[in-house]
Amino acid sequence: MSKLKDEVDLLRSIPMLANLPANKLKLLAFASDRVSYAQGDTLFHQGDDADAAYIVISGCADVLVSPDGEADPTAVAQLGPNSVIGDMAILCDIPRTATIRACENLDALKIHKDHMLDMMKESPALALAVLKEIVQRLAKTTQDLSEAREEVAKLQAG
Amino acid sequence: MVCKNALVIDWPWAIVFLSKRQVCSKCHAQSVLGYELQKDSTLADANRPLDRNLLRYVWRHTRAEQIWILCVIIASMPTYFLVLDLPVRIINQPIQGDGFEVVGATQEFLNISFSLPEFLGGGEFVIFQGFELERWPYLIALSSLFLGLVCINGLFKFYINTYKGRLGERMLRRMRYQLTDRVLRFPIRHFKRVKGSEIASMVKDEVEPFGEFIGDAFVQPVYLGGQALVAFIFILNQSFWLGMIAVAIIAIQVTLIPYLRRRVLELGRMRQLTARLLSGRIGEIVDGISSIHVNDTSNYERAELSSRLSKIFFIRYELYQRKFFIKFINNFLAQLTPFLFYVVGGYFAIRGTLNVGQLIGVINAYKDLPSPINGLIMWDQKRVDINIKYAQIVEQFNVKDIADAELQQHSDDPVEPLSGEITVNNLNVVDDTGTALVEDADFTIQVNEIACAIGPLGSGAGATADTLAGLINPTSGRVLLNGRQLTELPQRIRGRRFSYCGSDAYLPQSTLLDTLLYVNKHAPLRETDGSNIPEKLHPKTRAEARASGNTLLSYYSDWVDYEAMGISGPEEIYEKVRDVLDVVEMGETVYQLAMRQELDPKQHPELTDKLVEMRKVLREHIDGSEISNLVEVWDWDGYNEHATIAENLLFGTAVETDDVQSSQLVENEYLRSILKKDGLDEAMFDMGVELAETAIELFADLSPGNPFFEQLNFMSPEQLELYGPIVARAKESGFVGVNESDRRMLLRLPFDYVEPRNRLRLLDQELQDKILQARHSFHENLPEEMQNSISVYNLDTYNPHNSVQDNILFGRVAYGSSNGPEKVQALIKALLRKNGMDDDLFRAGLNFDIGTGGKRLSEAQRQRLILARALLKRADLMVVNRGLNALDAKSQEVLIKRVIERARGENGTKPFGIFWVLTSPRMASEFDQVFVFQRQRLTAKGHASLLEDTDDFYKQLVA
Repeated sequence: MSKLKDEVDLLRSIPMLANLPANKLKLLAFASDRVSYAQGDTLFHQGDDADAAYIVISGCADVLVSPDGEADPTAVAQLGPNSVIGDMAILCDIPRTATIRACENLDALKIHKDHMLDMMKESPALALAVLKEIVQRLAKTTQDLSEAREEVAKLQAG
Repeated sequence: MVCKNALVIDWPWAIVFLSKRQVCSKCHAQSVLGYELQKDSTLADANRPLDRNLLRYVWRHTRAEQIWILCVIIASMPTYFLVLDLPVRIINQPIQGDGFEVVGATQEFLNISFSLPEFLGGGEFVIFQGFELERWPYLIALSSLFLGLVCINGLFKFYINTYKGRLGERMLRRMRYQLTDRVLRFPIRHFKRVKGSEIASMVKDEVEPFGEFIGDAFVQPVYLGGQALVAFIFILNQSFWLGMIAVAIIAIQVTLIPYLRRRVLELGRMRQLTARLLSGRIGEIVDGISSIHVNDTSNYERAELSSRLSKIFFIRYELYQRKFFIKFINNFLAQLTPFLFYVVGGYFAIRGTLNVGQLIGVINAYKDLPSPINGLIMWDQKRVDINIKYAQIVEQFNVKDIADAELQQHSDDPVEPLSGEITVNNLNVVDDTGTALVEDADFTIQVNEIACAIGPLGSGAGATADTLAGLINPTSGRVLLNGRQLTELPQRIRGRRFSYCGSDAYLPQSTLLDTLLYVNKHAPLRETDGSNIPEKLHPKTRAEARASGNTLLSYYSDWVDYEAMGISGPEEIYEKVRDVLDVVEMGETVYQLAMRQELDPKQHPELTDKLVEMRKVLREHIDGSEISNLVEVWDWDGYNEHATIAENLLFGTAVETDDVQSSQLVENEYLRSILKKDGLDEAMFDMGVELAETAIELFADLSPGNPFFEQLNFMSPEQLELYGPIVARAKESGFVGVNESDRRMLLRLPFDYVEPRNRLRLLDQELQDKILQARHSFHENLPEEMQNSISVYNLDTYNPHNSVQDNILFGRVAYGSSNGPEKVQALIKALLRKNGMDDDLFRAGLNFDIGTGGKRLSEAQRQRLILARALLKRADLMVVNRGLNALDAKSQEVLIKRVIERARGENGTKPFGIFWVLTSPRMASEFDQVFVFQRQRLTAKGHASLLEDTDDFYKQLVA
């Protein structure tokens, strides 16, 4: 019925948050800000301090990375609805690893760092889900790295 | 016969009366002379330790006045005497007919003659024969004379009392001024041991009782002593032995009472000390309030306070007991004398050795003795009491090593810039606990050298900087400027040619601009045009300042030394200030402060008019642009979605301290009656129930400190518990059935509801329309007493209760648009700049009140400000002792580089030198000379590149 209800449903569709009890999801939605961005607006810049994670409600966003942080960034990925943005950085106080820019008009739910961390403290299920997600990403990164190394070795040999 | 009935003036009075003019004109001359002397000897007077005895202090400063007032009192005596004497005469003669036994008898009126006492050979001198008057005219004449004398007597009293009052106030003023003057000259280290509030209590409260006493200090004993002596001589004259009885009793009083009084005086001293400690303690509670709150020690403080108050109470209680006991003894002894007169005198009278007339004479004369004697004893009591109080104060202000007043002597002349070199020889500094702060430092720097000192905290670098700045005096060794001891330089050289930034960023309350200009106020350089004087000064302001030994320098003159800043007058000040503020990156802060300020249109009519103009310019700019969805402006006929329901209802800003704050709105009868009209109250009640339910559902199991509560804008964590039962009752009984207190609790909630923020979809179009209607009828019939409690939004007028920014915006920034506030602010800033309002706002920002101790600014901002004003001062040597330690390393670096750039000047002119104690040693390479301190010793010096190769400790610090 309310907008809040839609947002709760959105949160529930995120695998990481799926197991949270209904009232916690609602609380998270209540405490989060609904933000809209015009095309070309930047959500945050690479190197910024991380204060929040974002969940895309509608629209899309480019992930831009520049290797030394200064030069023109290149787009490495595009994120659509239901994607979670910037969740890693708020867990361990590292600066943003990429710049996020709206590639069309974008609506998102902004979850503040304190709220996310507090939720995790309260709910072991959530913490475990986040852990799972991270381990999966780590596994993927490790795999990517070994592939990349092989490629480098090949190139050097060749 | 004629003489007896005539109006006789006794001879001793007459002589005094006649010679009064000469004596008094002499007094007057003396007092004028006194002022002149004082003017020349101000410095000597200021340098002399305060007299330990109050009477000596008073006599030194008010000798002439004391003698004059004594003369006036003596001159007033004849009238006083006549006023007492005339009524008897009026009753006896014209009314009862004494001397008018024969029809047509006359009496002489205003016969002035002297009758000499017999030991001078007797005889009479008639000065004025007087008028012969009959009974009726004689009554009229005597009565009129009585009325005239009463007036004269009253005028005498009026004059004497005001004179004494003025004398006391002048002395108080002098004393307060002198005490504070001494505080200004205390050695800096002494301030570690004193509490500000104790000094304040001494200067303000403890000297207060002196004022009353000072007027009577000399007059009273002379006057009362004279009275007592006359009465006493009279008694002796009547009967030697009875007189001796009186002497004996007085002797007992005089010996016994000081003995009894000893403990009273001791108690008085204790009372003063405990009261002073109490005010010191209260000052500490206020200063240390945060540590009381974080440690939950408020009850400990209460207990401590109570124990202090109890001590004071028992001291005072004992004091009362003893005081009144002494009074009892006093009264008893006073009554013992007549007892002895009756017994002893009666015995002699019965025996026939004393005639009854004499006895009655003695007893009558004795009536006049106790009151002056008691008065004298009281006076003495007060004297001793006040003297002890005074000594207690003086002790605190006669401090060892107080600065010579000469060093702080003001001078209008500009001070030549310093050049040459500063030589530090064998410098040793030891603090008062005996800890060495610097040991054997030896170095030389040019005044305009760009040097820094590095080393860990307590390594001696800071103490060396403080010594250069004159805040610490060397314990041994010397600091020489071109061969002259730095400690002997008057403050007008040190204070104008040196600047200092320490880490202690205390700033007294003032505006931003005055805080910046404070460092350049050394002497009253320009006469005021009167515009800065709040109310007209008393014409005698200057004369009174002189009479109390206060400084004659006018506070209202323009003290700012524009020449020293390199400009010619106040018009150019803003450019200079902007320049230094930009160096310390405070320009933007000042702009922000200006935007957040609440301006009063009455005080800044032009600026506020311009701002209202800007409001319209902004609107034109926004309408139709992409920003239009970022701002929702106030519209009398439209609901503002991004504002609270309360704001939409009131359509204005609640004036502070009034009952229309949103939490109190529900209590307002008038508003409730408006809400009732359309059934809006019921709708809001339902909203309240829904809000309370949501809040309980989401927040009930969270602890009150949980960060989620920040998002709960319509309820506090403490209230959450209360609402459970209220909601249950409300659901059961409905809007009509529920009790008023529950109804209020629920009605209160929706006032702070904002749909785009809370997103509960509680506010539909119908409800918005109802609120709009309520807004209209609310303002149509607004009762008179509420007219001033709401400052209504009006497109054409400036709202004094909103910030500058809100006034320009005239609306709300929409929730949920990314970076909305930033975008809007940037737009406003650009528009202001385009319309040339930069300067106006900059000036408005400089009027910002920085709060007590500058606490409305952050510590970093205060430190930046202190650095900025050090630059503004254009001193020759800038000493910085970790002056930017509240800033992050990056900002420090930027500021240090900028200041060094200034110090190098254009084309190597080197306008000033720097001695900078760095918090981050990595910056040392920017300086021309580096001093490395380690364990209170100067271990290495030279250019950074040299030290890099040779000094291990330097490498360690920089790494």
